[in-house]
Amino acid sequence: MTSPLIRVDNLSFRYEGSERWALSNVRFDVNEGEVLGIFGRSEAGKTTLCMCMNGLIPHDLEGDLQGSVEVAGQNTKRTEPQDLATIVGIIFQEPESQFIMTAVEDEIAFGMENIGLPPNEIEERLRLVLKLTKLEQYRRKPPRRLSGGQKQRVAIASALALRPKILIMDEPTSELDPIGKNEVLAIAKELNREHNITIILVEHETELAADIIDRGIVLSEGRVKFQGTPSELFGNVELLNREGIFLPEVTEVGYGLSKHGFPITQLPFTFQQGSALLQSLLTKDRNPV
Amino acid sequence: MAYDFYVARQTVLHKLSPPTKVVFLLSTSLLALEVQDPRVNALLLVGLLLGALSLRIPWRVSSIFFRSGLIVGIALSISWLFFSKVGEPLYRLWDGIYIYDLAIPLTLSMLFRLWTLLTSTLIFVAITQESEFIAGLRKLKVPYALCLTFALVLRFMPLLIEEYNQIREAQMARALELEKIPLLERMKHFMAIIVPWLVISLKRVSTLSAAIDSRGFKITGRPRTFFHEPDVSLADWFLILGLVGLFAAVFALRTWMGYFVIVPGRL
Repeated sequence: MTSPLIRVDNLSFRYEGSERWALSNVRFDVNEGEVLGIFGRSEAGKTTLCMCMNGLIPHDLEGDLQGSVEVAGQNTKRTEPQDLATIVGIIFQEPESQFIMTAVEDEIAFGMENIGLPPNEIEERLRLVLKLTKLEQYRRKPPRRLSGGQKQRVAIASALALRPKILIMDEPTSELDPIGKNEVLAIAKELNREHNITIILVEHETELAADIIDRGIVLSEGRVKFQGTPSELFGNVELLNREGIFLPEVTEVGYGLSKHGFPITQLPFTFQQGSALLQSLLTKDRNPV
Repeated sequence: MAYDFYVARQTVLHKLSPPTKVVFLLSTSLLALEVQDPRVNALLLVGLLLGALSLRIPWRVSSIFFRSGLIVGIALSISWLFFSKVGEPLYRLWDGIYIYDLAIPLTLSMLFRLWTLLTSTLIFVAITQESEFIAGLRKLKVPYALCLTFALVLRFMPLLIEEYNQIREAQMARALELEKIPLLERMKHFMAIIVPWLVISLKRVSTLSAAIDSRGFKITGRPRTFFHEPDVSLADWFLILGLVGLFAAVFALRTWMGYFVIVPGRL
């Protein structure tokens, strides 16, 4: 059996000067090619966990870190985020704050220049990631002139140019309009399905995340309250409600129907599943979906 | 540059290499400060104004510099003309307040210097994109960490101003009075803008720092490559040499032979 790509082992962390543990005894593995969704209300520790996985914690943000995080065999306590950049890419919530340069191509090239790639290889990778993220026509534009979705795609392209095995997306759609949200998650899905990139997705909109994740974790006050498959996760409506996590609309409809006596053994969580469920109910097919 | 001052044209000035543009800005600005003689300053200013005119810079851009030049120019003229006690009293304004004969050329010199600095900057921002500015500095052997700092300032300035304006408008929409109140009250009210603005800005800095580290940036210990290496032609090198030489010559003439000076010992 192959070892996991990310191993979070009994991880606890509290920020310098804080009494409260932002993370407590967090333990989970992520396998290569997997999409892991992390859910939880604000202040649950999601962003802290993301920053532990690429070494920003404890190197940039200091504090008391116990337990360990291993990423592709590297312990993040001993490896600086700059050295993990070619293994883990990270996309932050607010696209505008993470741009360094004033032209899309310079922004994408920045990371590759940092790791010392020759200009011809930078050009080659640049073309590839622009194509992957469908940004070819914006190559020379300033990122600030792009739409929210395009900006996040630039951020994704900048991380991808370093060819990481893992892409951490920390609420990448929270400031985007519906079109932008779909654009970003479609790219994430493609990167995972076509290029086997492992994705850690923190997302408030379970509706969007449900379609892409292989496994989900619910964090509450820094502790893992639940981890399991999407059907186990979205089937646990009480937990999601208790933790303030919105249900996908199709799950909510399915849950409502089941409470009214419809024979639903497994709640749907994607549009396709919801559509199949309604179709079966409308055709009087009372067989469980 | 920040605020989109760049004017996309194919003029000779645009075609200069990035380091030449940086040297142009530095040398013309320093020349203006070196020379005290208003006749020479006027000559430099006229040359730059002609250069600026040839660029056909939109009024949207040039008006910002024009307005700044006018407002600061008036303040500068008043302070230098009425409060510079150089030479002999020429005209009595009030009891004890005179206009001195050498204050007039000195004031003119200061005005021309100011306008030269502004015109030189206007030309520079109209012909230079941010990336060229950074490439120019780099080519002139400025350490990359410093170039990156400049890049970040240019990158974030418009964003921070935009955010300031957004907070200001949001607070005014919530009946925050900023205009028809005494100065002290106004300053207090400004805190309602400054505090959230600072909090947002600090948060941005923190994200930016994380983004820079996550993209593998190290100040030392790892050789860095550059995607764009600016081309510097022979003509550019000659121009750079000429500008530096001119600056050095004027400096030598002023320091050791007293040229371009009206009032020794003054700026």
